[in-house]
Amino acid sequence: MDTPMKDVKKKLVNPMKMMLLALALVVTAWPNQAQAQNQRNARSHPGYVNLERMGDLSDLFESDAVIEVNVEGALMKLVAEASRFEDPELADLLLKLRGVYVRAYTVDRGFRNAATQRASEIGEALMDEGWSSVVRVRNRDEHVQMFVNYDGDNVAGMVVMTIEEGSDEAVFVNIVGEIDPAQIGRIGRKFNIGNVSDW
Amino acid sequence: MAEYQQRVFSFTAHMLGDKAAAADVTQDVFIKLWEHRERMDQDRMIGWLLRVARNACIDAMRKRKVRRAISDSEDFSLDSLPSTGNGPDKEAAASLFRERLAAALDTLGEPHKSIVILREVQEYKYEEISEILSLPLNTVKVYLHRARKALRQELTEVMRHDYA
Amino acid sequence: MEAFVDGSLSAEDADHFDEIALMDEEIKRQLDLAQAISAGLNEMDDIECPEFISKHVMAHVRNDVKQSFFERFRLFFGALSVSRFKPVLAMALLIIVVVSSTRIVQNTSAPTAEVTQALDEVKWTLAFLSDVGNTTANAVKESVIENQMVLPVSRSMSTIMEN
Repeated sequence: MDTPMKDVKKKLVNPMKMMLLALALVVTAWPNQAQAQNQRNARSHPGYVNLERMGDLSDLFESDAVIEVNVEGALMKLVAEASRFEDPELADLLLKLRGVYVRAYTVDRGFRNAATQRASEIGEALMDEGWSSVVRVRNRDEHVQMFVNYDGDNVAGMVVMTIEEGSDEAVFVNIVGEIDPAQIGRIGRKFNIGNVSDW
Repeated sequence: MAEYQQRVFSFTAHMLGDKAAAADVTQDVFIKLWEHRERMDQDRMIGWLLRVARNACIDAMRKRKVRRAISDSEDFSLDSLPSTGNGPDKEAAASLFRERLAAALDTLGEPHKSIVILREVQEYKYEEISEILSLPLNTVKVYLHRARKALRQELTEVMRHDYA
Repeated sequence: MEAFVDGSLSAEDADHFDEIALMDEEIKRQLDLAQAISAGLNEMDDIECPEFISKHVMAHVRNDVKQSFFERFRLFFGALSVSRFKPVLAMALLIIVVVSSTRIVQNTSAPTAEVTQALDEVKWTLAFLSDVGNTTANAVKESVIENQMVLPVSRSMSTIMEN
């Protein structure tokens, strides 16, 4: 029996050491790998828009966002599960989403026109990239644009940009994933919007 | 590695006068390199490659005995050797001379033909050729001298035949 | 003559040889031929290596690597059947089970502060979107229905009433 073992040993690195090393690598790399993969899944999704790239928003408003929301990947899954007890319908909606991204800025009166112009330019750029314009409202009180991106027959992404006269706020929202706009509207009505500045 | 492949292919193509055969030989040479990779000394790799390629070419030539026939129907004389002048006649003469030269090269035996290709076509140094062919340096020079003389004799014969 | 053609003669010797060649017809003829041969051989093109050669070689290499991998794989798992490695295998399985269980337990425990805040942010976003949709729908309704339907009808009614 010794001869076959010697033969094996000549051809192989010590298998015990190999296995323990492989296990150590799996245990340490597994969670990080999964999280990085989840993030890549959201940000490489067709419904994702890199809001900073689109408009250099922090430069435009000469300040960082007062609200910055990035819920994606594993965090999105945890949020969905956390909501299941109180609202199963919300949990089901969130499980279909890959990411929710928000940037909100305060707008000085002098910047309102420039902000509106930039939002229009962002809208044009989105349409050049294949997004469809759903709503455009431009009046004295508000400037609202809503875009969706389709993946086949399904809505894969939604972008909403609003600049409101009264509240001096500019809000940019991107939702990524399998979206049912009617469902979002219905579920969203349950919650109290409040003001951005109240956060 | 791409550069080595190019050099080996060019050498075998000139040796065999046949690109398809040269491709086969080149492929076999690099597969042999893979099989011997653990014993290979990086500094001597090109010498090894050309040596193996040359041996493979000699085997192939023995099997095929390829010769390029010199066309008897075309006129050729020393007066139409390639010169610095341009013009269609001179260009045609130059082209014909290159054909005759390639055919004459093909008549050379080994190791003369290898030495001419390595020295005159691929411009290796004498020392490198000595290593590739495992021949002493002076022997390489002597063989080259004989090869050049043989080429001159072959081409002179061709011209005499044309004038006759 | 070959040294002259190679350019390896000294300048003095080269000039001397050149003079001899000019005086002797046969030497001149041989010299011209030698120079033509040298030039002709130098001009012989480096024949370009076709791409398929490297592809074929790499295919052979990949096949070889695959074969040797399978061979090592077979030997490795053959060796594992030896009783000496069974405790190591058992320990490895135990570690995998423990790690997996820990991750599952973590997932079902109470939400952390980060998760709670993220949930609030998501709820706000959904509420915002719903509000925007509502406001926009009203604005569209006012604009479309009011301007394109109600106003024309009321103008027509006024005209009729006046008449």
